[in-house]
Amino acid sequence: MQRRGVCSIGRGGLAVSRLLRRALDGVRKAVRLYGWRGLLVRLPQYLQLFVREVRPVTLPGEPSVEGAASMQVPTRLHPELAMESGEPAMIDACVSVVIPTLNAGAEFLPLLRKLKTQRGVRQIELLVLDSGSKDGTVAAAQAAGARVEVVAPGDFSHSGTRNRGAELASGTHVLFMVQDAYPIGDWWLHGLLRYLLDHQEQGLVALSCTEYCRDDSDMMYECNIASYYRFLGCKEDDRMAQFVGNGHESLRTMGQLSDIACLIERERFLQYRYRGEFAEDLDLGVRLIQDGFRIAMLASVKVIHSHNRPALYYLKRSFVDIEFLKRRFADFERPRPVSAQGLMAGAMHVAHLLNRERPVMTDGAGHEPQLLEAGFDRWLDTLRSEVSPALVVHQEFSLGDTRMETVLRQLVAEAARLPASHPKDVAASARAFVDDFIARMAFFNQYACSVYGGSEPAVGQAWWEASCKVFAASLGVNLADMYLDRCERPEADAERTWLHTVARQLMAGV
Amino acid sequence: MRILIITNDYAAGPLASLTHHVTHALVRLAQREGHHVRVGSVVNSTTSHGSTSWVGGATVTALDASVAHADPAAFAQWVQAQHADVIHCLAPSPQMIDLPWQQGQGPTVVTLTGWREVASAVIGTAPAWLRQARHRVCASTIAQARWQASWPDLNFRVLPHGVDLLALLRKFPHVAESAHRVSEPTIASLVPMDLSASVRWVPLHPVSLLGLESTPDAVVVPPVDATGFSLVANECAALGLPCLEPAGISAWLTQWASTSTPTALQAMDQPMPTRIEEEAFFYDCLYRH
Repeated sequence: MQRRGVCSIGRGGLAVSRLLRRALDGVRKAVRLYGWRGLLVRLPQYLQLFVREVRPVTLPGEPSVEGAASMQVPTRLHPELAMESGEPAMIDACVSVVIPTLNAGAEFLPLLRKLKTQRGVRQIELLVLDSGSKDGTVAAAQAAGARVEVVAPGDFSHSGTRNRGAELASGTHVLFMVQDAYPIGDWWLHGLLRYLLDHQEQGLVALSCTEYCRDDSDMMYECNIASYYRFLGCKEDDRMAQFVGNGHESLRTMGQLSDIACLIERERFLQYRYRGEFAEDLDLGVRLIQDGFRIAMLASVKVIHSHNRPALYYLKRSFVDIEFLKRRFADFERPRPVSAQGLMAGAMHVAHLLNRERPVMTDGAGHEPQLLEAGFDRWLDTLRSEVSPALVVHQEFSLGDTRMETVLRQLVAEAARLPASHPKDVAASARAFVDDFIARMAFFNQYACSVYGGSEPAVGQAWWEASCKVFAASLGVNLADMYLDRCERPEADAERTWLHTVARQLMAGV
Repeated sequence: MRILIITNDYAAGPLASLTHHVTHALVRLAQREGHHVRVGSVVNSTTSHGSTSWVGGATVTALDASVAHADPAAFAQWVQAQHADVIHCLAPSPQMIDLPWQQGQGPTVVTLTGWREVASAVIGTAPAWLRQARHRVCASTIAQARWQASWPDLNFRVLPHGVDLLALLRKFPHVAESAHRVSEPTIASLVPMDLSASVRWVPLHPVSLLGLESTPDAVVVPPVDATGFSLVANECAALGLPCLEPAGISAWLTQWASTSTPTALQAMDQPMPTRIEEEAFFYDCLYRH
């Protein structure tokens, strides 16, 4: 008895000490980011967060989050590296690879060649669903021996087209892929299928593999994907997930599948099918775990895939992400920005300082390039100390993406025409945006400095471009927060009308 | 993960040799995966020993093997200061990067990037650090057979060097496009060419098609078994560019003229050669294994 008591006190003590340590770390981080004065201003907000942290999150009858972590399984070696005792046995299955295409480009044929020559699986069927390519994608797919189904461009949808592919497929399993992904190794498909079959008895019904960045990815993408896989718990380990709770974080962590490469038994898929126009892979994974199945994200078998997208994409994408998460998960809460003019004032302030920073970090105007880490820290200090309290329109700025610059100018001009907000609200919202950007940049800097060093202009340029993308993502998130907040208000006002127009513009084409 | 790469003369650039091409790509891709990479570049210069520079955001330290051997304690201290989780050595032969590694501090992975006939003459005994490495890697089964014949008690794993597919497609988009349109490209179309006017000799280095100034219609490379590995042949295979590998270099003209038995690679019928990203991922797995 005594022993049990000691043990229990010990556990409680450990939890308290962990909590205090985290609080102390939080204070240190806030002081580093905002200074002591900034910390005092934000104290009420931090206390709220602390209280939320202290409150138990596990619902009665639900397994704990610690239980979820234990679902990480020892990572296997990629089959290509595990052939010391000979090649693995052929798997007697037929996998239909379903790839929706639109102007797939020069990299598509290498992908088909790679898929065609995969080893260790009895039969592979290539199914290409093309929605109006004009670059010879269809001819190339046919030459590679793929079965091609033409989808009228107006009929294309991420879910519907893939569902159609699964209906047409003749395999026992269906593997959804995208046109710009590329398997690693000649035994890649074997590795995916072997894992699925080996864990069937544990309830595993679908899996995806993680991405390995292409040689032309950008720093922002690399940082995003690394932190996302850490969030999912599959950066270095294979992870098998099951239902833990209905909270949005739990469902998003446990229920993630990825259309970059998603393998599932065809019959099972046809019972569920994809739904919706965005994040259909996450939606499928969530429904599967909610029904008691398990899904997996593999790190032992990867697929080459990444992007190098312009800043405007990040603006649109982050807006759509927030809008989707709010719509899909009832408990997904976000801050509510007060003033549109304030938000755009903060955005303009950051854009202006990004523009001013470019020559310093990239040596473009004969400046002495700085050591990256020191340069980053100095710049964050500048951002902190120079927040402009009102909407000042700087006409001349560059963000490395002319379309992003045009959209930003348009948004600022439109916000300036809205009925004037109270100056205190404008200042608070501007500050909140700058704070949000600083927090994102601090996170990004930490990543960038852990990988890169020195003072080379090329690295500085890559950092500056990534900073513009961080800025765009930050603006997209904040605009989405404001849009969702105004949508919930009973009366329509000028801000809401404007935000509806902004939403239509940002959500188009993502 | 903190990775220490040891190679010969890293600052010479990615197109200086096969080893350089591979090493620069591996450093770049390890950084893309979020690893912190440092490079120890073995140079033949006592004066630059210990000097540091930055290449692509990675610290590069010049190491002169004779200076390191003269003061093994200082070298051991330098290795310790790198705080590396993994040490990966890459060189055509162990002799080119022979450093005074201390017991328990040596490389995790050693890649012998190629095979030269000259190497066999100076091969000698395998150094202790090569014997103690967790993984020994070479790029082809031919190279594997030769290294293993030299040191029968050592196992070598084969990992082909990867082609930079994205750079190739950017540099030669029309080649890839025409190869894709014609499902089985042959060198038949080249026969009517005026050979004396069309043929250009380029030296063995640069070892990648990316080092060429113009676009070839076809490529002739020395037989793979003379070098152990040909990145150019793999690059041709990736692009669908006809590539001849005559048995003897003097016979290449004869082979060119006779289209009946060419060893031209048929684009769609051949497996894709390894990409640099694949090679880098496989090393990532070995680092953790």
